[in-house]
Amino acid sequence: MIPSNPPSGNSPSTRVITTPGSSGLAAGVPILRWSQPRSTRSLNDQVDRDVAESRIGPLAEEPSQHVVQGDARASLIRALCALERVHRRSIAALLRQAAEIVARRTPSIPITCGFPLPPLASSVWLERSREVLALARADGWASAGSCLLEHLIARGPARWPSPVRLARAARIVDDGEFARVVVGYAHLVQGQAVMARGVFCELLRDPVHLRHRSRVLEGLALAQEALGHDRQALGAIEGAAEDPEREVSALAQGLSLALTLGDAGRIRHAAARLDMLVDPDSPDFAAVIARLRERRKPLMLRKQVEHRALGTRVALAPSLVELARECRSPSGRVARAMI
Amino acid sequence: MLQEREQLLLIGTPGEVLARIVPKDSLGIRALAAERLRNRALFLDLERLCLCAYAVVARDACGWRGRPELGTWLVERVDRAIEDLLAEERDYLTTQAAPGLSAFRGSSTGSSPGSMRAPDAGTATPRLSPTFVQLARPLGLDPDALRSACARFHGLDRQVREAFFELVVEGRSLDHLAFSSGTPATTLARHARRALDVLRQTERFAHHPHPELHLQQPRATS
Repeated sequence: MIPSNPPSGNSPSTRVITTPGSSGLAAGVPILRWSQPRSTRSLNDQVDRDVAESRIGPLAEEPSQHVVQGDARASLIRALCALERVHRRSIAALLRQAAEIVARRTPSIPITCGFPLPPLASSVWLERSREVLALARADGWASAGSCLLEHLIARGPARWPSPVRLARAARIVDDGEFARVVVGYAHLVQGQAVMARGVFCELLRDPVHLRHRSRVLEGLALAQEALGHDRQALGAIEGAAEDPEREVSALAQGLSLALTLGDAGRIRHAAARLDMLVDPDSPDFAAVIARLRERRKPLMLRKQVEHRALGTRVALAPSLVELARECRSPSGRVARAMI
Repeated sequence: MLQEREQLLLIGTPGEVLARIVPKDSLGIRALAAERLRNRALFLDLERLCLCAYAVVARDACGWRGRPELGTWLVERVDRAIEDLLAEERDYLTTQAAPGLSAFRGSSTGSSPGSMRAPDAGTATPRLSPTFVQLARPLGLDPDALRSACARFHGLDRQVREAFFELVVEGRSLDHLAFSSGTPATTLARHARRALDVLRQTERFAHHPHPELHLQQPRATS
């Protein structure tokens, strides 16, 4: 696609994409009109600003009106719309990954189950982002999302916005269930438990068709725990433990909540399942224990402050002490992480 | 020596690759998409899937240098396009269940004013495909409800969907299918019935519209 000079009467930020001669269609036919975002705004403004400025021009906005059976031009227009969506999804995925990189780098509230994206080295992220931007730019496509990506590349991870801002920007670029899950976890990482709970509760209005149901339930459990609602947290995490992929982290988290509540029946059940399913020497389980231990620190500190105000001391539950004596078992290691 | 099909991918921007592969479907993506839909037992709009697959192929073409072999590479791209469409359909179901989510206006997530203004493009609720309209209206069904039912169908296990396709869509004999697949006939019948119940919810929604779904009144059927 060869971006032509904008015809007179269009704003300077508008580009017109025309058909090349190789497409078999008449060359120079305007197909799409892209509006470029203003580039003078600050990075934070760009995060908050609507990407509707990359709106597709009217020729492609209602492609169904132009579809005639066997009309190659109409098919190409609709395919270009689909290509625009692919570019958009790629950029949103990179913005979400940037949120994960920042969440991992900055001191924050550890999440027992881990961020919902696998860790990615920032050098790999930079390489992929440059590729994606080059492809989008080659088609003359730009949006606030791609401008934000350019700014992130130029600044380097140390100067990126917060995980919440990046996750919300990704959601603006390409919304969907997973985009919202990442926003929720970004709120958790930044200690914004109320906001996180709102996101997850909204997603759970239709739990049956959620693709990432267990992730949402884990996130809700973490938010409830951070707000001191341990019993609600336990209910949510037990739902997450039904998913085989989330069993280990959910069972560990569930056991820690059951120990906090002193619920003997649930302690026995969670401990038995955990000991049966988990290899205590596996690196994944070790990572879960490490995050659990880090997560417990501020929660225990808060409890100590509350008890000090009352003139009392935090007492360890007998069930917790008893389980912690089992040094080698997975459930014992969870109990020891809580002390 | 590169084949003619392979040469279509090797040079140009994604848009230029798209302009080469779309008009005559030079890579045979339409047939491949139909085959993958049948293999995976899915009800998706083939036209929409083809467009999505063209876009994915065009975008990824710059990274393809002959490995893996073109046929395998195209199958991976079509499967990716299928996953993207399935995700869009699931998001559509979510917004149907909770209409307040559809605009994504940040009522419960945005902390700063105007921080989550709904975009015009790139939302997770694409408008209704003409295919659902063309399929549903002659049957007296509501297109929105049919689309929801298909999205629910896709959430079923693969063996359930396959049983439905074999027995109901393709009309194969239950006994013959049980013999060839090694699965008990009662299990196959149960699977097909379960899938049918999910799809029949279209009819129930059409006759008993849920207020949140804003269904249209069905035409009177004889």
